[in-house]
Amino acid sequence: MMSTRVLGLGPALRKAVFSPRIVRNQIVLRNVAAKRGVQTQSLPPSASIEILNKQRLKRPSSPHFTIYQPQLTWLGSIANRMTGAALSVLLYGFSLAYLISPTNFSSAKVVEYVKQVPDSVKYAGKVILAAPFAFHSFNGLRHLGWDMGYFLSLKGAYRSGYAVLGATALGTVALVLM
Amino acid sequence: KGTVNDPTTFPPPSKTHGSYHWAFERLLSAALVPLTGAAFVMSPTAHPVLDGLLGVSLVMHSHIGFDSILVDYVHKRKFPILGPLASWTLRATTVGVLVGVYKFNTEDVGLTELIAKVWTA
Repeated sequence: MMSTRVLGLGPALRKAVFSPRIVRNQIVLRNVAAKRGVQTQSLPPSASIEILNKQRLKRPSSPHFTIYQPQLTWLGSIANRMTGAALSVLLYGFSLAYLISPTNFSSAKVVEYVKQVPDSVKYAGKVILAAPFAFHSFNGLRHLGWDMGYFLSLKGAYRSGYAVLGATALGTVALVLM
Repeated sequence: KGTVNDPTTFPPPSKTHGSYHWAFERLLSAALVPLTGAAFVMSPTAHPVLDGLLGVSLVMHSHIGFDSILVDYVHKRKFPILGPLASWTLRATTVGVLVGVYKFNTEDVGLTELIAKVWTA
């Protein structure tokens, strides 16, 4: 019965010793069979790091991005990144498309396509292109200002941020009406 | 690189990847302001060199921007395969874009002219 030590059945069997003979087998069966369905295995101490790493991979991370209060600082920053990425994707996409098929994406074809869309689509398209460009440009100037040492206080950051938003609105209107 | 209980490693200090890269990035961004202004004020077909300069500067600026996005979200320290793969894909794409921009500026009307025409179509 060396296996009882590994399986941890010691207490269960000990309980059966102090009962009358007729009942003993039933108690043994009830305690042993119901209690121990799980096998344990013996591991070396170095395996503890592996188990720890595996457990760490499964752990959830606490909310950070989803609960941070919306603020002009980080909203402006991610907007700068997203507008820049969107405009660059447009630039890259058009350049690669022209490289792959110059006849389909020649300037004449593109201008022709834009000419025949309805006016509302033209205006919407202009707004969609002008607003990110204006925001990214003005926020870029704000960034360069930071690099030179200006607007670095909280007040400065907020004031320049609002100025950028105002300039973006004006710039978008100006560009769309051009 | 050690167990998860060791502190994180830092890249070796290097001026080309550090302060020079930063200075170049800022100078490029600052130069884009007069370049864009000049390109749209002057007639684009009469100044193809300016158009070409603007095109190259825009592509370089975009590349540095995309590279920053990759470094922030797909760093090779945490993504040992996807990180370098994404970096090299970006570099190959930028080379392709440079070729496309060159082709467009030489064989076709050029970026500023295209934008001007599309805007007033």
